[in-house]
Amino acid sequence: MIRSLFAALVILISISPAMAGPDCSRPLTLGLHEHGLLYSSDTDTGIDKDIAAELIRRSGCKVTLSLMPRARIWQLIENGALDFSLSGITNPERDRFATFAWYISNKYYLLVRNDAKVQTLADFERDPALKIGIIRSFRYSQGGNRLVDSLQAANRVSQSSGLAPLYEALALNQIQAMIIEPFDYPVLDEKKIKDITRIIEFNDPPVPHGVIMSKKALPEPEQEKWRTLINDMRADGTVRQILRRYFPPELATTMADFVDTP
Amino acid sequence: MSRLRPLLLSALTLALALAVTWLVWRHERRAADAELSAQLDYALRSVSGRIEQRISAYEQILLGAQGMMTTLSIKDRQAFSRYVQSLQLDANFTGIQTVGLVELVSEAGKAAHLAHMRRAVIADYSLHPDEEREFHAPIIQREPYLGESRNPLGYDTWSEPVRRQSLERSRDTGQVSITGKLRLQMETEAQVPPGFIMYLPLFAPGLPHDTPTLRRANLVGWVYISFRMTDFMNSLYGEQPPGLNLQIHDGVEQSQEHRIYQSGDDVAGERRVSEYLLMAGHTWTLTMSARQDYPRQHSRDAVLLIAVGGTGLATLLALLTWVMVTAQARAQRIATLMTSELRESEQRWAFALEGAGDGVWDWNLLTGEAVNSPRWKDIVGCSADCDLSTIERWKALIHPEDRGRVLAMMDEYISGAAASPSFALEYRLRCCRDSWTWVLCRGMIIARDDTGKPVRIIGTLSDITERKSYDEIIAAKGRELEHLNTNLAASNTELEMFAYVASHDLREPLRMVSSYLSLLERRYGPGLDKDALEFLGYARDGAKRMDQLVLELLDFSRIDRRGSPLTVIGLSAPLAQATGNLRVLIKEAGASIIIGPELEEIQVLGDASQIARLFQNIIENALKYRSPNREPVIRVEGRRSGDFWDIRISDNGIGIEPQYFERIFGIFQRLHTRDKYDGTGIGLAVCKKIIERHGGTIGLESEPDRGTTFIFTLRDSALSR
Repeated sequence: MIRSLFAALVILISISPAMAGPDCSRPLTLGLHEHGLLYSSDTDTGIDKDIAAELIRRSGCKVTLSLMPRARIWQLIENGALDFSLSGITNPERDRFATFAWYISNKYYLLVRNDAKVQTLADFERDPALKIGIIRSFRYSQGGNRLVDSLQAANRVSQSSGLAPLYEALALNQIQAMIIEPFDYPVLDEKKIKDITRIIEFNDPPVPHGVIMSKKALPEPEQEKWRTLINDMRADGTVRQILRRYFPPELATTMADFVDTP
Repeated sequence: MSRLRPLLLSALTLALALAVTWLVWRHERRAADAELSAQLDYALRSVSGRIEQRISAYEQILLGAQGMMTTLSIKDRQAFSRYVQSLQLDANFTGIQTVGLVELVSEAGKAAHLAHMRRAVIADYSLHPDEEREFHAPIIQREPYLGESRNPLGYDTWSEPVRRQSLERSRDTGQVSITGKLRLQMETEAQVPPGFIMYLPLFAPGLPHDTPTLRRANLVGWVYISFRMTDFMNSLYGEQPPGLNLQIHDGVEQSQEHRIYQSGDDVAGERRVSEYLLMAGHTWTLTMSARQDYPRQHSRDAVLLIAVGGTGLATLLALLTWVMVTAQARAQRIATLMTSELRESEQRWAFALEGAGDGVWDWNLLTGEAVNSPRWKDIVGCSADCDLSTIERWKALIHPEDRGRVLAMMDEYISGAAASPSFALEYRLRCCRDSWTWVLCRGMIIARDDTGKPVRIIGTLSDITERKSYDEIIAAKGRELEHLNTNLAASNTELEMFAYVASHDLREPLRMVSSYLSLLERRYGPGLDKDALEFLGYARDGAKRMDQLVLELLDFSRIDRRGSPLTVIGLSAPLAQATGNLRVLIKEAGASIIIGPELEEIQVLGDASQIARLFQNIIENALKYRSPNREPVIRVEGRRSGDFWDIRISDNGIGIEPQYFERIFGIFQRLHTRDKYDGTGIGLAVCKKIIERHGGTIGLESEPDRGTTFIFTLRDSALSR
């Protein structure tokens, strides 16, 4: 009996700091970027918007949302001028100034024009006439990054500050490929891209996406509190529910249920 | 193949060097390309960032106006004018053409709008184009209301698709919206630069606008800022690097129709990078291109240098390789030729030496190795397979009696103590046979090390066994001859002694015979008959001639024994003495003695009394054997002949038959009977002996009945010095 009481006491003590919410003593900032189903300013909706709303609700903090280019978001996160952003992926450079709380995981695909006559990633890389469009500051899966870096060295990359111009450039054959994620599927239909393109999968494992937290803006204990909030959202199925608003249930489950191995 | 080798190596070197050059060139070119791309990308990113910042700044102006309008009516012209004035738009905002208000007017509210505007603002206010549609969006206010901004208000922006699209997007998103490329309504010139407008929706104060539906329901108008694109770009902070061209197209299509900005000349650059800039719902395509001169100004310009320098170096390397390879080949050819010539030379020498019967040897003093020619081995008697590969082996072959001497002399020579460039040794060697071979070994040091120490000696070996045997024979003969000479000298001495003693002792009995004959004649002469007296006279005459003979024989023997030492003498004095002694005889014969004047000068080595005797005997001989048919003429002459004087005494006497030329110099030799010519036959023998004692010769030339010339030689006095 005594042993049980002691164990309960230890558990209470150990979880008590985690139970405390994030510090809301100041208004926080969160950057959104326009990107397919993640966020659309036209409709003011998207997965990131929903995730942000849930975080705000659970934390009780005042968080100002801003729409800005992704490159600008990374710049501000690095400087500590922005507290959060969403659906970010990491790399060693970003790990220097940001920390992440993963909530979805998905693969990357190469969306390539049919008339480029490309069957594989290597075919695309070999043909010097083919160009790819990317969003400035975006990183992808390992294979995607390798392809982009290789084409960048060959001056075969067109940068964009957003996703929409890339679809237009692809449609106009100014670029012959771009890298997409499941968030972009509905846009393919909307922009009538599907008919003129095909998808080539990178042979990479799914890449986790998560809340981006500025190390400069948020102390480590605060980062842990926000990470706990996200983990709670994953654990109680909130993330899956949000994804189901935008994706078929199977895909939503695949994207939400992943092993978090930071 | 060997001839092609230098060419192939040079070509290979050239190919390798060119390949390396190509690799370096390609790497450098890629690096330069990457650098150029990075610079272009950076420049483009810089421009796009500045555009974004500028747009963001203008967005703040619009947001300020939007915020002000949350409490004021869009019709409050004074408040808006003050707001714009408060912005203090200075040179940094020269991109702004005007800040204005657009009011949303429904078709139903159009009349009221017109009435209000004509009453409150401009009397002749109207919408233009004045068309019937669900909504109108006329410009109702421009600030500052100056210059071109004073163009008539009332332009219905809803009527123009580009503006309307942006107005609708702004309305639906509640965000700033940027129009596409357009001609600003306030522009009056025909050719004006393209422009664009930023719109931000204004909602009725106090009413919600959180959703698109609410925004549409509560929209009252827009605040906008219009821009000339060139002015907008000129208002950006920072400066664009020279050599770069920037083009901005509206949307993603990069055509002339969509181009809204271009810096610099419209020259297609080699390099270009593009970026799609999505701002406020609208896309601009920024294209940064580098003009031809940009890389030289800002990039590494080593590509050309590497290409030219690398190619030049490759060519030089190939040439150098060719020179080195061919030089080696040339050197090899020369070395081969020299080796061949050396070999031929050695063969010739070996052939010559071997042909001459000499063996050849070659010692390495450092290793102790010895090389001997076949003839060498043949001389010593070694078989061809005999091991003579070391100097020590050679030492073992030397005769024990010679070994010490030979090795000592060799050591002396090698050490340099002998100070001679070569050496020659005679010693005995023996290899496989019982007999010893006498050899003449000649050698010479031909190589020394850096310290001057001898390292190699070569030489020849000659078989002198035969010569040695001859030497021994000659030596034996010499010894024998010497012995004979000794015996002969002793014999001569004894003979001379005998002759002297005999002649001396013979005179005593002769004198006794002669004395007793005289006593006999004196005491018993009167009693003797004529025959007895005649016989007694013969006996006494015989004794007298015998005494004369003994006397002359005694003189003859005294020539060597009692002669004076040879000294420098003139000939005139002895000659005068001789003619003086013969004065009576000369007179009786009526002879003429003609003496050459040179006789006065001649100085010879001689014994004066014997030379006088010599002259006297020969002149007396000429007087004695004078021709009865003519008066005797005797000439004495002298003539130099090398180190000697030839003295000639000629007469015109009876002459001598040539067969008697040798005989007349023999002792007691007479060509005539005593009856005809008196004499002992010793005179000319004495002359010959005198001349021989003086180291000269004596001979004669004669022709019967014409005369005789005696010629003898005497050494010049100069030989005494």
